[in-house]
Order: sequence, then C-alpha cells, then structure tokens
Amino acid sequence: MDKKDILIVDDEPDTLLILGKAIAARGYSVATAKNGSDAILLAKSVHPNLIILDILMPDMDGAEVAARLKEDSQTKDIPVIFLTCLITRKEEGSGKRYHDAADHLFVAKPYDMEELISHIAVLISKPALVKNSI
Amino acid sequence: MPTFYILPIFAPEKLVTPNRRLEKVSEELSAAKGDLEQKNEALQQAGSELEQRVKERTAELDTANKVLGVTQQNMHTVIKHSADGLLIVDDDKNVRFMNPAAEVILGRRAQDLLGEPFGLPLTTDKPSEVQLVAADGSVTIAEMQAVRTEWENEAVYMATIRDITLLKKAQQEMEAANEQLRKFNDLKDEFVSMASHELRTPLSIIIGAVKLVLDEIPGKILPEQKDILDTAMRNVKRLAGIVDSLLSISKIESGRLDLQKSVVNICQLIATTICDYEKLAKGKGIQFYYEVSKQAIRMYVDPDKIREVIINLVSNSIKFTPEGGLIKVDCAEHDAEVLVSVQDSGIGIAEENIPKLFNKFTQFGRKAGPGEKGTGLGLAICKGILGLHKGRIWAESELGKGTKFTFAIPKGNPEELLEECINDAICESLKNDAKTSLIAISIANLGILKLKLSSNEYNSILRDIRTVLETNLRRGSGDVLVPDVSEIFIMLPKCDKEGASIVKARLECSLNNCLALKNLADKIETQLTSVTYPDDARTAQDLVKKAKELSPVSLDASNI
Repeated sequence: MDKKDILIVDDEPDTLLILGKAIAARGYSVATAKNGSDAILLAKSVHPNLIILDILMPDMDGAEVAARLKEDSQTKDIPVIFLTCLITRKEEGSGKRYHDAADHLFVAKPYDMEELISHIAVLISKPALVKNSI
Repeated sequence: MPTFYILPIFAPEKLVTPNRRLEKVSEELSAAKGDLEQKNEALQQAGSELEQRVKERTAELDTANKVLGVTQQNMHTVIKHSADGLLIVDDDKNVRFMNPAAEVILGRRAQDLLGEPFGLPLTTDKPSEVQLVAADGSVTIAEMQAVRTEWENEAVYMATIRDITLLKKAQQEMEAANEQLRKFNDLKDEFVSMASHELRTPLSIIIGAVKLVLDEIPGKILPEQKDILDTAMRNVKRLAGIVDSLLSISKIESGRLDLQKSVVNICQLIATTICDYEKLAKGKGIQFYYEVSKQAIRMYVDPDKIREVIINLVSNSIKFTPEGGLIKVDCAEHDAEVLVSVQDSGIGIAEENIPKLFNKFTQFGRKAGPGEKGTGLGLAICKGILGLHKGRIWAESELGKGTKFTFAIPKGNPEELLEECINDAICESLKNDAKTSLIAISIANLGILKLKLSSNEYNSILRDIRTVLETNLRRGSGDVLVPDVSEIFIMLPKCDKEGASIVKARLECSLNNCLALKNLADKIETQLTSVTYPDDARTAQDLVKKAKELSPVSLDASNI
C-alpha cells in the first residue's frame, strides 16, 4: 500500500468518516482502521507519520494498541494522538501511563478541530526520533 | 515545913494545844469538805456533760439511721425500678439476686431462678450480646456486662442486662440504607461516566460534520444554508458545554475530581483568561477593567480549574450587565489569602436569592438573551473547585445596582507548599511506578547583594533568575518553588536520576550565563544539587534535607 501521512483508528465509523474528511481537507493523506489489530497491520504497511487513536474501543483499547506499536521496531517511533472522552474510568486506568509523554498527546472529545489540526501539524513536522522530553 | 505539890494542871498552852489540834483538824476537815464539794460539782458537771453528749450522739445516730433508712429505701427503689436488669451470680454460676427489670428481659421470675444456674455467658472486659428466644418465639437481643464484687461476704458477679432489640433493629436499618446509598452512588458514577462517553462521541461527530460543510469542504454553500448550519453548530456546542458541566459537578460531588496543581502566577492567569472576554464585553458596549498587580502572586493551584472559575464569573457578568455598564476584575493578597473579585454594574441579585446562588440548577428571573441560558451548574462547580483548593467563594449584590463575586484561596506558607508539591509528585510517582526528582539551588551572598543594591535592582535580579529557570524547564515538566529567596527548588515529576542531572546541567549553564551577563558571576555563587525519589530519600522532608546536605549555602562576606 502507498505511504499515508496519517492513520486514524476508531471503532465508530462516523468518526472515521468525518475526521478523515476534515484531515484530508487539510492536505494530508489518510488511512483508517476500525479496530486495534487492523490498526497495527495498517501501520506497518502504510508507514504513517502520525496515528490518531481512540482510547475506548472494544477488544483492544487505544492504550494497548499504542503499547504494541511501541514494541515493534517498524512502528515504535510513530507519534500518537489519543482521542478520549477524558473521564471514563477505563480510560483513566489504561491511559495514565501515557499521560504527558511528548509524543503521546491527549485530545478530548468533542475536539476542537482547529486545535487538533495544529497538534497534527506540530507532530508531523517533528522528526520521528524524539525521545524523552527534558 | 509543908511541901507543896504542884498538881500538873493543863497549862493554858497545853489547854490550847488540844484546841489547836482540834482547830487544825477542823480546818483540815473544812478544807477537805470544800475540796470534796468542788470535786462533787466537777463530777456533776462532767455527768451532765456526758449526758448532753450522749443525747447528741443518740440524736446523730438517729438521724444517721434515718438517712440510712432513706438511702436504703432509695437503693431499693433504684434497684427495683431500674430499667436495666441487675443480677447477682455466684462463682457456682447460680443466681443469687435478680431485679424486676432482669425478670422482664429474661422473661423469668426471680423466685424461679434464685439458686438456679444462670445459663448466659458473663463477660467482665466488655459487654456481650445475647439472643433470648421467648416461649412465643419472639426474639430479644440484650447486652450484658458483669463486674466482680462482694455479696454476703462472697465474691460474686454482678451483671447488668439491657434490652437492645430496638437499637439493633435501627442499626441494621441504617446499615441497609447506607449500603443502598453506596450502591446508588456507584451506579450514578457509572451512569455519568457511560453517559458522558455516549453523549460525547456523537457530539464530536456532529460538530465535525457541520464544520466540514461550513468550511465548504464538500462544496460551496448558500448564505442561508450557512445560517442554518451556524445555528446547528451553536446549539451542539451548547450541548457539549452542558455535558461538560454535568460531568464536572458529578465528579466534584463524588470527590473524584483530581486537581492537577502547579505553581502559577495567578495575576497572569487572570490576565490571559479574560483576554477574550474583554473583546466580548466591548462588543456588548461594556467597559472592562483589570488591575494587574505588578508583583507576581504565585500559588500552587490547578490552573485549568481556576481558569474555569474566572471564566464562569466573567461570562456571567457579561451576561447580566446591560450596554454601557462596566466590569472590574481585581486580584490582591490579603492576610494569608489571595482574593480575586469580579464586579459588575449589572442587574444584580435579590437578597433572598443570594444564599441559593451556589446551589445546583438554580437560576433566577433571567431575562437572558437567546442562547445564553446555562445549566444552573456554573456557580455550583465554582464552589466545588474552590472547596477542593480549600478556598471559598461568595457574592454581594444589590438589585438594579450590580453584583460582586469574590473568591479566596489560602496562600499557604512556602515550606508547606514545598512539602505539598513534593508529596503530590511522590504520590503520582507511586501511582505510575515512576521516579521523581528535586533540584535544589542555593544562592549564596544574596543578603549582601541586597544591601549593596537598590530594591528595584535586587528584585529584578531575583525575577530574572526565576525567569531563566522557568524558561529552561519544558512546559509541564517542572515547577519552580521558592520557599526562601536564597533557596530555590525545582520539582521534576516523573524524572529519574539521569534525567535530573541533565536538567541540572542545563539549568546551571543557563543560570551562569544569566549571571555573567549581569556581571554578577563573581558576586553570586550558585550551587545546584539533585536528589531523586526513591533512590536518595523516600519522604518529602528527607528529600529536602538530603538536597540541603549536598549543597550548603555559604554566606561568605569575602566573596564580594
């Protein structure tokens, strides 16, 4: 498959549709995945520069997907933006590990599209090798 | 010649002598008699005194006996009428005495139990509960406690027994009610969590979708279409706001709102927050005043939450102040608190409504414009946020004249804040199984410098040092705490030893550069040390102690 700029992962098809269109309208090429396993496969084949991950998903949640991506040498350096409702207890539990890390950003739903776009712009222009921020 | 014999006749002396002897005896007799009389009198006196005393004693004894009699009577009354049962049980476990109350509780008559074994356990260290089942099947729960005492010269147990059936029942009912309440609360939390997720996802999509069309991504739209979609967008955003409010208040109430505290200059926080609202106010023809305190007032608070409070108060003021009015925001330190007030010349609030202001879902006679109606939760959320910061919020108002909302947050003394900040970081580390580091910067010779410079110059140096440190810390990765001007602590949550030494090196470099630029490199000596939890110490106090150990502040006059 061709390289795509951004991979969006969300179990809600409408979110994939709307978010996909909005980001594509900004000139980025977009790939979408409905669940964690598809996301990991897709990440390896389209080599996105950025992954937008919904946290609350059935089967594999966003945090677990991110963990798996980190384990794989092909995908470990791809920055991730987490989409979250920011309050559900499950998210609090699983997402805590990634809170504040430089290449793991938390964006709350309903997100401000402009803000999201600006985050994307920042993360994509960074070289993928950003480690601990100190 | 005749011889004369002289007959011995009692010469007067000799005649007197017996008289004298008689007199003497008589005298002696008199004296003895007098003596006797005296002694008699004394005896009589003593006798009557004794009588008197006996009388008194008898009277006393009588009274005492009477009192005793009354006391005994009282004792009898007490024992007989006591609502608590009293029993005497000897060491053979036989009942020796039972008062009427005990009869009632045990459902047995004293005469039947006297001399019979007492079947219930007797505890002397603490009360024990017993269940008594009556002939008709009814259950009585009683509490019993015994003490050791004497009865008719024997060592016995004296037990009190009390019917606690009703008490027990009430306790059980309360437990059940509490359990229900707990379950309900859990359910409510769960519901709110799920509801918010279920509500937010579609909201997200709608906002995104409407925006796409408004941005004309799929194609151009007519002005009328734009108007309609703008309306839709406005309302969906309103809905999102309401969902947020509901979630906030739910979290605050269930105590599940975690504050993310950091060291914040509250004056600056206010300034940046009200920036946008100034424009809004101007648009409505309202004058906006904000007096910025020249000095920074630093507090350890959750900036997002405090921002929320300010936004709430300011937007309320804008809502309820007519054109031509004014809004004034103020921030000042007073006693040990920081007070922030938002005052407007708006429509005011009626006196009887002021106490209800901070209740949930209350809204008063609002003639608010379209799209301005809120949920009635804003002030309740503010109150909750202030409560979490150990502060308070209140309102003063006069109908038709205006309203002034003020909130106060205790400043806390620097040592306490330092400890609190470090403890928070340690807690976070524990939760995430991470480390946390503290950098201590001791600045020597500041005192001497202070004497040599004007206060403005001195203060500007302190400010610059602080700025250098703050700018060299990435946003959110550290807090600068200054409990004492010559001692600055940098809190680095989630930072391990290696990371800390990197930061330390960087800060040292920047600090030295800054001082060199000001020609102070030889006048001020700075020393930086870093300590890490849990490697170097496990408590806030120990961390601080360790840090100070490694960097002694030397006040050496010879340096200048």
